[in-house]
Order: sequence, then structure tokens, then C-alpha cells
Amino acid sequence: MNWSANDAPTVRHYVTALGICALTTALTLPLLGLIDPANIVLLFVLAVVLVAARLGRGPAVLSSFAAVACFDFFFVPPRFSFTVAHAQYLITFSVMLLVSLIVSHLTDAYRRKAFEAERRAGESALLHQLAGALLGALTVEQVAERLDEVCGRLLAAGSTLFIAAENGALAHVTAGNRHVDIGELTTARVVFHNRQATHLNTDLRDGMVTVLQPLDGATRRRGVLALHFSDGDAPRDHALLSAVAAVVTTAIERIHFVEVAHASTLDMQTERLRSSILSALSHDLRTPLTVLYGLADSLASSGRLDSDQQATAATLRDQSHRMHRMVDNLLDMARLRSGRIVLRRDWQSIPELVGASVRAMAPWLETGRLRFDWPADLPLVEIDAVLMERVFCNLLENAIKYSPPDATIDIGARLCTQTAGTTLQIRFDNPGPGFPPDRVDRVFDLFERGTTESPVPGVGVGLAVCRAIVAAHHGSIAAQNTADGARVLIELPIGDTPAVPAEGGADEHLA
Amino acid sequence: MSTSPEVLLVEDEPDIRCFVRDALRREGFRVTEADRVSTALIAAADNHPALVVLDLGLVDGDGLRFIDEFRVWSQQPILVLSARQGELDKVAALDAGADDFLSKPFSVPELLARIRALLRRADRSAGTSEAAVFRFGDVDVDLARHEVKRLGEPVRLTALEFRLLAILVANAGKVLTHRHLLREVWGPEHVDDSHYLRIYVGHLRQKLERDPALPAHLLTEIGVGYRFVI
Repeated sequence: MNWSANDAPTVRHYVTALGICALTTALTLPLLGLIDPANIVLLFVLAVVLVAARLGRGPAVLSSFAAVACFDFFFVPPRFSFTVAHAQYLITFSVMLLVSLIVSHLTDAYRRKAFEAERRAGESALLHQLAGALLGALTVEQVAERLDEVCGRLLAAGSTLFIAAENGALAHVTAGNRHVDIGELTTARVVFHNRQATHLNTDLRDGMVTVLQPLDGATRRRGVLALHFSDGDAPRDHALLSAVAAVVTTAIERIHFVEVAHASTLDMQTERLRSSILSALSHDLRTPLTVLYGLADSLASSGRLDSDQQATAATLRDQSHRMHRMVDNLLDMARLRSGRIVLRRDWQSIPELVGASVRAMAPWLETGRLRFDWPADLPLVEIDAVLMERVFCNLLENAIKYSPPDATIDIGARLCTQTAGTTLQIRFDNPGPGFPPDRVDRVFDLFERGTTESPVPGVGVGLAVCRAIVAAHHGSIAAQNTADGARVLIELPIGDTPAVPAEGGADEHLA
Repeated sequence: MSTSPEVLLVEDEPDIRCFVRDALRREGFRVTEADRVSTALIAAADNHPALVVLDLGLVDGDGLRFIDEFRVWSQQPILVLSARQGELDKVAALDAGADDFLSKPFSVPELLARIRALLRRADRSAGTSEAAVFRFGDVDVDLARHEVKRLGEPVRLTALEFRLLAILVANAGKVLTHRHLLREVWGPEHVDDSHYLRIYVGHLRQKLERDPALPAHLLTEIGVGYRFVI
């Protein structure tokens, strides 16, 4: 691009201006006597206009004076002297000088405007081509490649793109095989982390000028654009570079947001797949178990079997139900692990929930073995009842599994006031061997069982599910060994229990 | 009409349908089967079943659609079968007009007991006078005279406790959702105040159940509501 409209005229320009005056004089001299001196004046003015159009204002002013001097010296009698015979020539000189100066001024102004218009056309062509080229770019690498191509063609400049990662680390993306040294990267980092808009860096080694421009996106700074010019070509007007940076930023942001949208679509699809697999699995596993349980139960309760067959049918029924509970635990675990479970919290009474859990486990439990210790003033807690029932059923199942057949299972609750706040502590105690002392802390890990080769069935999912559910309620669960067995303690945070309006004594019903 | 009652069984899993049908027939019921909502509606219109056993997850649409359409012209009881997790489905089915539900896997004796209870209730409400005297455990309730006695001794109940008990007892065998009970006892502006229910159910159990920690009559259906069993 031609930037000479802004350049100061050099000595060469002035010498050329004087040369043109001399040439005009030389060409006009033979015509002296053939044409009127007034026409000769016009020829000189024409020369000044030419100088103004080609060489700028300074040389034009110089040539104005030179033209007047030449005309006086060579054409006005007495010739070859600056003396003037007639006073009227003073008017001629003044008007000639004035006209020359005005014309040269106007010509120069038009010339500058023409240059400016050309420059703007060039700029908009650059931006237009750049925007068009970047429109089809699908990756940041393609942006760098096309930017380099357009800048090389229209700006005679090389380019380097520095892109910031999510964590703010700057990495360069260059087109072709341009080498980026550590110094350049450091300068780019300085520009990236500074609030300043532009940074000019002259590389003295090979006479290149690098202009760095931060790429400011809508939400954050996306990187730094570096343009490399040969010395002398570097633009002084940084508005164009800002515009180039804006176009590049738009392209980079578009690619970024397309990637974000793509990732979230992928995420959603994965989640949908996961939940549809879970529900298909749950249906496909539960249906045969329901049939198995139902058939075994029909058989066991038909009253048409002898006692051995009756016992076999009952075992079939109990085992298929146990398998069903295991499947429930595994599916709940999968659901909890996916982290997308939504708690349906409601104010619940723990004694009521434990009672309902016991009823759900009733066929496998002699309720006479249970002893409850529920204080009268136990507050309600805001929990997901269905999930918490799963916790209580699992703990009951464990207590039954790991205690002697007639042992009493103790269940209770109390309020614990600590500095951190008040919690509700629920306790499940069962006599028996307790947890293995070396692994008390790990019994809640997935697939961890008290005894590795225990004759008692179970896969160690139950307690892991308990912990996951309690954790989802911001509570804690712990295993302990007591003097005569195992204890599990659950602590649940107590919220602001809502008030229940008291009824006046007057409307009491007396039977 | 001294013939045995007709049960419509709507279930799309043939194996489940098969053992339920056999159990019902052994118990003396006549059974009509359907595996989808469309055929179930036709079978219901043809046979006028005394009771419907309905699986909520049918292939050709939600069992809820069946309940909606069946309830337009019949008040016969509906017992819903559903998965354990589907609390919201159960509540929706009960709100639509189902009377009771069983979670899969279910025990056959339990299913038969529920069906008998629902049929008894249907007979009772079809009778000339609404029964006003109930007896369960150690307790006698006379709804008309607002009397509650335990082991012959009068029991003091507050007005709201009595109203809650009356609704539960009058609908014995049926599952009543939290919102239904709250609306009936406390009024429509309190349908979300489920903590009222927890407290008052606790009071009733303390006053009426032999073992309040393991109630035998006022039963909790977790995540759904309450069922009164006489």
C-alpha cells in the first residue's frame, strides 16, 4: 500500500521542482516574441500546477517563486536582469505568484484527499477480504492461516496469533513455518496482561517492526495479534489494526462458542443416553425379578406343597426379593454417582420413616427384635423420604445379616448440639462381631465388605448407597464398634422446622 | 348376581399377567386381560369389572389415560402396579382416581388382601347407609357421634385430629395422598404444608396405636401419602 501522501517531501522533490521550472524556461525561450508574455505566464502557472499535483505543497511553493523569478529574469525586459522596466510587471508578478500559490495549495489538497480515499478503499478491501476469509474458518489454525494470507497480500505483513487458553496461558498459532522466539512470546504476554491497547516492538536484528494488538472479546481477552512489517511499511494509524483485531476476535469467539455449544450438546446427549440406559436396565432387570418373586410367592403361599417344597419356594421368593433390593441399590448408586439426582425434600419424621422402612422389610424381620428409642420432642428434618427409606432399609438389612438370629436391634435418635450447629443423630446398633477393626473407616466404600469371604450374601453396595444418600443431604454417616457389636451413626443437619399452629383447648373433642 | 366378581387385569408383561391371573382365579375371581390402554378401555366397557388392576407403564401410553377415561363412567376401584421409584407417577395416578397402589415386586397374598379390602369398601359405599361405626385394634370410632374409645375408655382428640381420623377411617383401604388429606382437613391453602400431617399423624398414632413406632392401622406410604387399614 502507498503511504506517500503522508510522507514529508524530500530534497529530491525540491530539486525536481526547480528542474521543472528550468525546463519550462528552456522550452519557452524560443517562443519569446512569437507569443504574448501573458501566455508565457500561463505556461509557468501550468508547471506549478504539475509540481503541486506530483510533488506536494512545499515543492509547489518553491516552484511558484522560481517561476516568477525565471519569468522576470528571462522574459521581462530588460532581459537577464531582475530589474523591471515597467511598473505594470509588478502587478503581473504579484498575480502570478498569488495564482501559483493558490493553485498549488488547492491541487495539493485534492491530491491528499485522493490519497486518503485510496487508503480507505484499501483498508476496507482488507477488512472485507479478511472477514470473508475468516468466515469459513472452522479452527483457530485456519484463522491464523487465512489471516496470514490476507495480511501478506494486502498489508505486506506477516502475522502471528497468540491465543489464551481458559486458564490464561498464552500459546502461539502461526501459519506456515514462522518461528516464534521466547522474546516474542514474552512481549505478547506483557501486552496480553496489560490493559494498554497497542504495543509497538521494533526488532533491530532484521529491521522488522512488530505491532502487537490485544484481541478483546465480549467476555474476556482472547489473545494477542502480532503483525510483522518490514521497516518503513509499518502503519502509523492504528485504527486499521484495531479493526483487523476486531475481525480476528469475532472469528475466534465464534469458533469458541461453537465449541462450547457442541460440548454442551454432547454432554446432554451423554446424560440422556445414561438415563435411558439406566431406565431400560432397571425395567429389564426388574421385570424378570418381579415374575420370579411373584411365581415363587404364589407357589409358597398356595398351600399345596409339602414342607420341603414349601421351604424351597420360600427360599426362592426371599432370594429373588433380595436380588431385587440389590438391583435397586446398584441402580440408585449409578443414579447418585451421575451427580444429577434431584432430592425431593419434604419435612419428615424420622420415627415415622423408620417405622415404614421396617414395614417394607417386615417379611424378613421379626419385629419383636427391634427396640426403638425415640425422644418425644424429636424435630422434623427436611429430607427426601424415598431415598432415606433406602438408607434405613439397607441398615436394617445389614443389622439382620450381621447379628445372631434372636439378638435385639436397637434404633434411636437424639439431638446433638455442637458449636457447628444442631444435628439429628440416628443410631442403629446391632450385637454381633461388629465391623473388622482394621476396616471400620472403609465399610462405606463401594464394593467393600466387612469380611472378604463371608458366608453372608451382599456385594457391599448397600452401605455405599447409604453414604451417597446421606452425603446428598449434607449429613454424615459413620461406622463404630461397640462393646457387643456394630453401630452406625447418621447425622443430619436440622433446618428451621416450620411451625404447626396450635389448636386452642376449647375445640378439643371429648369422647 | 351371585357370580364371582370380575377383575380387569391390564399389564403388558405376559409373565406378570400370567401369575397374577392364576392367583386371582385361584381366589375365585373371573379375570379379563388386556395388554394396552385401548383394549383395556374396550374390555372395561364390555365387562363392567368390579375392580381394575392396572400397570402404569403400558406400551401404548400412560395408564393415567385409562384412569381418566374409566373414571368418567365408573367408580369401581382401581389398584395400580408401579415401580418403586415412581412416587410422582403413583401420586398422579391416585389424584386421577386410582384407589391404591402396589410397588413391584409385590407379594401375591398382599395383592389379594388389597383387592379384597378395595372390594369390601366398594360394597360398603354402594350399600344403603354409609357405615358410621368402625372398630380397629383396641379402638372404636363412631363418626356420627364424634366418639373415639380405646379399650372402652374415651380418647381426647382435638378437632383436627378427629377430622383427619374420620377421613382416614372412612376411606379405609384406600391410599390418600398428602395433598388430598391436607386439602380436606386444613383447607386448600395448606396443601403444601405436609409437616402438619407428620405432626398430627404422630399424635393419632400415640393416642390410638398399640405400638406407635410400628403402627398397624395408620400406615405411611413413603413419598405418597397414608393408608388406613382396619
